[in-house]
Amino acid sequence: MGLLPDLRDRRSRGDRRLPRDQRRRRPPDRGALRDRRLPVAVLVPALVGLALLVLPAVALLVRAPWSTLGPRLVSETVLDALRVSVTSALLATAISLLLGVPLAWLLTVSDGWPAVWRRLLRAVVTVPLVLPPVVGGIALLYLLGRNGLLGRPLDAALGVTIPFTLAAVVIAQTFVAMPFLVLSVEGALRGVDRGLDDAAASLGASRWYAFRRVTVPLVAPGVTAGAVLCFARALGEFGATITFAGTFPGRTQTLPTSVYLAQQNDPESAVAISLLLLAVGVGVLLLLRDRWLTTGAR
Amino acid sequence: MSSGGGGGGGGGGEISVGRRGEDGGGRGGESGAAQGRDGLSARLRVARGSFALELDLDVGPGEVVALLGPNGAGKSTALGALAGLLPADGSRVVVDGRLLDGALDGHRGDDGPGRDERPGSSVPARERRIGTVFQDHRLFPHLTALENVAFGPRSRGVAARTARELAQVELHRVGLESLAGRRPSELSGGQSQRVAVARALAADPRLLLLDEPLAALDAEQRPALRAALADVLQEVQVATLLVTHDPVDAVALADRVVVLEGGAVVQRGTPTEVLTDPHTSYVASLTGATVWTPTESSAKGSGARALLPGGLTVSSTRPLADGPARVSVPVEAVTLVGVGGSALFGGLGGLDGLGGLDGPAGGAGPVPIPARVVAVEQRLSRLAVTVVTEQGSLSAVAELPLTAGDGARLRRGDRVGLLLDPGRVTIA
Repeated sequence: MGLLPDLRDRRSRGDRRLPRDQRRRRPPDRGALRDRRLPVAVLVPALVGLALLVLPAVALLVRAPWSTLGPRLVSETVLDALRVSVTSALLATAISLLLGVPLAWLLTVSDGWPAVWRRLLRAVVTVPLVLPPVVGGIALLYLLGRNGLLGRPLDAALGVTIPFTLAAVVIAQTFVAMPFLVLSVEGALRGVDRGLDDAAASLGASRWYAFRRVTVPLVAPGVTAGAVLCFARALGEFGATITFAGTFPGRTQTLPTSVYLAQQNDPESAVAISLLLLAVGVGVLLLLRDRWLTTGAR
Repeated sequence: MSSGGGGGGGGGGEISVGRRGEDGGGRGGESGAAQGRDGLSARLRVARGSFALELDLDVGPGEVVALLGPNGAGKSTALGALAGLLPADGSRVVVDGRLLDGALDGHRGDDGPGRDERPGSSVPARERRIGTVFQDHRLFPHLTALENVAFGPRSRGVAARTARELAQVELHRVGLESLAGRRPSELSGGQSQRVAVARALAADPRLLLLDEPLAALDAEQRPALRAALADVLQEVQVATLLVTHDPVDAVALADRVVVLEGGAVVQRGTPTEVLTDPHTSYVASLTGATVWTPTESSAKGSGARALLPGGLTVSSTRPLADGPARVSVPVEAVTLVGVGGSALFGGLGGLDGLGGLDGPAGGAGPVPIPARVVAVEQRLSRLAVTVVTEQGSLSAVAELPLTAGDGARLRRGDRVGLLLDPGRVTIA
C-alpha cells in the first residue's frame, strides 16, 4: 500500500491522542491503576532474566584492572589481535555485502518457487545462525582443509592452502555473520512497495535506473543495519575461527581468541580485552539505534 | 512548455529532449508524431482465469474518457493492460499511431515495418509513454515532490537541471510549486495526488491513465481537487482514460463514458446520456434510478409505450430510444402518493401531468400503482424510499426531502401509490 493510508493513520492517531490526554487529567481510576500493575508471576522471572543479562557485564566492570588497563590494551599481543580482528571483520562484512545482498534478493524472489526449494533455500541461509560455530569451523576444515573437498584440488592445482591464514579467519567470520546481513536485507527488500517499480516503469525508467534510484535508496537503511550487525557478529566470532584458522599471534589471532588464551595465563589481560570488546558491542548498538531512529523518523 | 529562463544550454537541452523522447519510441512513434496525435485506439482482450475482459476503446486527442464500472468489472485489468503492467495477450493497443500491443490489422504498409510492428509484439511499460496516476499515488517516499516529478524526465536521460525546470513547470501547473521541497510523508492526501498528476505529466505522456484519482481522498477535499484536476486536464489536452466508480468524477471530468460490467461494455455515451438513461441496473443505481425490463415496447405518437411484467404499462413523452429494451426510471420521475391518493410524497409539485404509469392495462389517467415500501434510507439530506409494485414486483426509488412531513413517516411495509413523470422516463 502506498503512503496514503500511512498519512491517514497518523492523522487519526493524532485525533485520538487528544481525548486520551484529557482522560489522563481526570481523577485516577482505581481499576485502571490496578490493571496497570504487573503480575508477580511475570515480574519476577523478567527481573531475574534481566539480571542474568546485566550482572556479568557489571562483574567485568567491577573486576577490571583499571590501573593497568592502558598498558594492557596497548600491548603488542592486543594490538596485533585488534588489527587482525578489525581487518578480518571488515573484510567479512564487505564479502557479506557483496554476496549477501544478491542472496537476500534471491530469497525475496523465491516466493514464486515450489515450496520445497523455497524452504530449502531459507533453511540453508538460516543454518549458520543455529549451528554451533565450532561445528561450522570443522565443516569448513573438511571443505577447505588440506585434505578437504575443495581444499585438496586447490592445494594440488594452485598450491593454495587456506586453513590457519587470515583468509581462513575471514571465511569463518563470513560463514557465521553473513546470515545476519541476508535476513536484514531481505526484510528491507520485502518492505519496498513493488508498486513503486510499476510507477518508475510507467515514467520511462529502465529496470537498472529504477533499481538505482528507487530500490537502493529505500533498502539502504536495512542494508546498513545488516552490515553493522554482520560486522559486530564477525568481530565477536570465536568458535569457527579458532577451529578453522587457529590462533597465531599477529596472523590469525583475533580479540576473542586472544581473550580465550589470555584467560589461561593472564586473566587480568583477558578482562581488559573483554572490556574492549564490550565497548565495541555497546558502540555497535548505539550506532544501530541511531540508524533505526533516523529511518523511523522519516 | 518551459520558461526560457534556463538559458541557451537549458533550452537546447530541452529541444533535444523532445526529439530524443520521440526517437526512443521507435520508428512507429516517429511516423505517429508526423501524423499528429490521434490518441488511443485499443481492442483489449485479456483472459485471467475465469474472467475475460473484452473492451474496445477509443480516446481522441485531448479527450477524457471515463471507464465506469463496479468492483471486479475489469477496470484495473484494462488499465494494467494498457500501461503494459499486465500481459495483454490477444489485445491490440495503438497510441498516436504507434502500435504498443499486437499486430496492426491490414494497414501496416504505410508506416513501413517498424520495430514494434511485428505481430504479437508488446512494448514494455517503460517505452510506452503512457502516464499513470495510481490510486495510491505511489510517490517515491525518499524523494522530494520536485524530485518525484523530475523522475520521468531524468529516467529518459534529461539533464538534471532541465528536468528540475520541467518539474517546476508541472508543479506550478498543479499549484504546488511552494511545496517542491517536501517529501511525500509531509504532504496531505490531496497534495500527494496533485504531485502524482504532475509527475505523470512531466514524463510527457501520449496517453494519461487516471486510476480512481479521487477515491483515496477525504470526501471534503474531493470537490476542490476534482475541479482542479478538470482544469489541469483541460489545459494539457492529453488523451486521458479515467477509471472510476464515482459518477460524479465522470460528469465533472469526462467527455464520454464507457460503462464496463463483468468484463464487457454495457453502455457508452456522454456522462449526461449515460446517467439520465441508464441501460443497466448498475448504471441506474449510481444515481439511485431503476431500470425495468419491458416485455414489449413500441412508439406511441411522438412518445413511447412499454408493457411491463404484471400487466402494467408505462408511457413516456420521450421518443422510443435506441439500445437494449428498457424502461429507465430516474428518481426525479418517481412520485409516491398515500393509499387514498391524498398525501403526496414525491418531488413534484402536484398530480397534474403525472400518470406515466398507466396502471392496469386499459386504465385511464394517472392511476397510482399499488406498491409497498421495502426500504427507507437516509441519503445526505434526502430520504431514499424504495418501493416494489404489488403487480410485477418492479422496484423504484423515490427521493424525498427529510422534512417532507408524511414522507418522513414512511416505514418498511407501508402501502403507497406509485406515479411516474412521463417526461422523465425513457423507453427503449
